[in-house]
Amino acid sequence: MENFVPYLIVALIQVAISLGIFGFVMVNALLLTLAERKLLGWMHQRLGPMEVGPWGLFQPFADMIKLLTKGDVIPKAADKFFYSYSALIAFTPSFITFAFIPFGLVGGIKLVAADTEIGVLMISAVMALSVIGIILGGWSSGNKFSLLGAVRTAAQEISYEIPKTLAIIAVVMLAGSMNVYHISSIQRVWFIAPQFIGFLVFFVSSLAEIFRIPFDLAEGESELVAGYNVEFSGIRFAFFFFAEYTYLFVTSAVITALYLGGGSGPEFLPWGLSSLFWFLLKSFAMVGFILWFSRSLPRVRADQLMNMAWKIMLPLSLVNIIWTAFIVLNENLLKIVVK
Amino acid sequence: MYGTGIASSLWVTFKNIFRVKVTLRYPKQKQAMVPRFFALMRMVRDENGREKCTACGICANNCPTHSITIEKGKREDNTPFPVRYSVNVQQCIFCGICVEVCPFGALQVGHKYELSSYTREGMIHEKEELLLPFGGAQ
Repeated sequence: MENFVPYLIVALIQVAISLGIFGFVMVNALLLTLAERKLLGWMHQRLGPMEVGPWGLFQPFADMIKLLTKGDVIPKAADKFFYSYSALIAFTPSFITFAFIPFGLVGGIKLVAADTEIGVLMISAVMALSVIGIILGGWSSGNKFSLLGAVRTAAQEISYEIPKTLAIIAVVMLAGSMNVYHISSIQRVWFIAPQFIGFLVFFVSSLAEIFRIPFDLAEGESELVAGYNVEFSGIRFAFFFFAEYTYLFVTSAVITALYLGGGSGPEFLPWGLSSLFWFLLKSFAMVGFILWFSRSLPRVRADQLMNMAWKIMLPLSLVNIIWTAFIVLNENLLKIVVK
Repeated sequence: MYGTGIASSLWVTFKNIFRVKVTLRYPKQKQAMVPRFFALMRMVRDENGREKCTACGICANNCPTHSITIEKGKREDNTPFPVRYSVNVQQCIFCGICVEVCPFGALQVGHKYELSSYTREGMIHEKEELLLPFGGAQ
């Protein structure tokens, strides 16, 4: 019995932490929707949401209440089982990816839930899982537009997974490890400098993977109504929506860890809290940049999308790998880049 | 070239973030009316505070949509005045002919433009409302 109690305490702490992360995911996604609508409004010389609460701060919560209390509609032509659970399949991986994100080193404790040696691989793999939910949702709706959206999703995801993974491989070559915390803490120079081509490839591929605007063919409003989520409403739509905005943060956090030095920065808070601060600051700055970037560009055509993946991104990432190999083999250069 | 196009589009959106916003939060903020703005016409009082209108009916006769209804009456001093003067804004096309044809200057351009109502009766505006300053809008 005495041996049992410490495990119980550890388990309870882990449950509490995961609940906290769940709350963070929810609030983060809600506030990102508000941030995006405000930013988009300002870009149009509008005010954005203003009516609910001061400066429209409670608008996302009102939206959430609306989505949760909406009637649950399942179309007649839908495959009921997959239609019901596809939204969950799309959302759950986005929550799992938080386990591999290194938020910093506070009080000597690594703020990473699963400090595995294959963290980068796991993030990439788990993010790809949620595409299954999107494809299932699009197919099971029994609607031609959502099916087209789902098919486009599959093509886009498969195409951009390759340059993205090759860009990650270059980072792994430099750091000599797949542990995300190790990669983020080993950077003497932020990897965006020696890996600039890789960063470009990773950034574009990530935008394509999370269906931000220049690559939002899967839900192109003008062609496909709303793509894979045409038939979804209420709580199921909310889950797709959450997945989208959670991936926005996850992608920014991964970019921060791989290319922007993770939590490195001037120390000004006790117990290493500044590493958490710098990590979150860089991540949210990246989120802001992605919002700004994606809202400034028009959507690409489907053939342009494929051309970009196979004819530009793939060769670029291969060139980047060769360049990285050059750095890794030259010891003097390697000493400048990594600790 | 790709790069310049992306950079210039980023610059355009970035500039606009800091521009003055054009949104008018309508029920809370209202646009200032120019004097010639014509919505529902209003009736004018004379120096004694009585209606200038003599209920001659020229406005009603010239109204292209027959939206003006007048009932004529006489005051104690035997001057004519409208007992009832109403405009049905379901029919009114806000052409302003009534204001132009009035020989006594008893009608003026009015600024009341929030004219919707939940009932048909609410769409008929009576003399008492029309006599309010600026058609009751401000």
